[in-house]
Amino acid sequence: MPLPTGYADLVQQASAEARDGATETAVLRRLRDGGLQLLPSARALCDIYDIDLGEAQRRIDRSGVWSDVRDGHGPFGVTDT
Amino acid sequence: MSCVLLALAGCTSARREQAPPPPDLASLASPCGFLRDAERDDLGLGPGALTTAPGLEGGAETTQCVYREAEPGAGRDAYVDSVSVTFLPTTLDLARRALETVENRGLFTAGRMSAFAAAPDGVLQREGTRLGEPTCERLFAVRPDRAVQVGYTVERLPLGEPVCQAAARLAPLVDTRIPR
Repeated sequence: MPLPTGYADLVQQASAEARDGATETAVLRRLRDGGLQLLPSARALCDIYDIDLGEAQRRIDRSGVWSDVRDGHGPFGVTDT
Repeated sequence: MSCVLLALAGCTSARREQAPPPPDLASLASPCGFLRDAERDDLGLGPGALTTAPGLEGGAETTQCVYREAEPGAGRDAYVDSVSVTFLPTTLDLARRALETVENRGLFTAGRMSAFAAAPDGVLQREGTRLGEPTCERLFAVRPDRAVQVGYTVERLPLGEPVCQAAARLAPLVDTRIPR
C-alpha cells in the first residue's frame, strides 16, 4: 500500500488508528514514518487528541519516539547549514 | 411607568439577559465548564474538547479542555486562537514544580517558555512560544487539591506586545474568570 502523500491524509490515517485503539506511541511512530518532522507531528497530535501544545510536547517527550533528535535539529540526517 | 410600558421598553428581556454568575471553579466537574457556550461564541471559539492525560510526574490524571478558534481569522488583527483549561489534581506548588520539571527535560522547551513567576496581579504566569505560537499560561489554585492552568495562544501578536497582555486584552472574559 502506498504511503499517503499529504499531511491531511497522514493525520487522518493516524487519527483513525488512534480511534481504533492505537497507542500514542504508535500514532507518533506513524506520523514520523509518514514523513512528518517533530514540530508538525506535535501540531498533528494537538488535532488528533484535542490537546494544547504543551500537552502535545509532554506526550512526545514521554513517548521517546523522537528521543534521537533535539529541538532545532531536523531528523532523517538533515544537517545544519 | 406602568408594567405594560416597562415590558414594551424591554425591561423583562433585559432582566433575562443579565449575566449569570461565573462558574465556581472549585466545584466544576469538568474544565469544559469554564466557558459557557455563548461566552466562547463571543470569543470566536468552538466547543470545548475534553481530554484526560496521565498525571505529571506519575500523579493523578489531569483533565484538559481545549477551545479552538471556530473559523480561521480572516482579518489582520491579533486574536486568541485557542484557550485551554487544565485541572491538575494537586497543590499549586506541586503543579508548578511538576510542569516545570517535566518540561525542562524535554525536547522542546529550552529557552522557549519563561519559568513561572508572579505577574503584577499576583497570578503565576509564564509566556513565550510553543512551536512558534505565542503562548501565555497562567496557573492558580481553586482549592487545596486543584490547580488550574489556563493557556492561550495568540495569532498575529503585535510586535513588542507581551503575549499575556495581549491575551488579557483580547479575551477579557477569560481573564476575569481567573481568581486574584
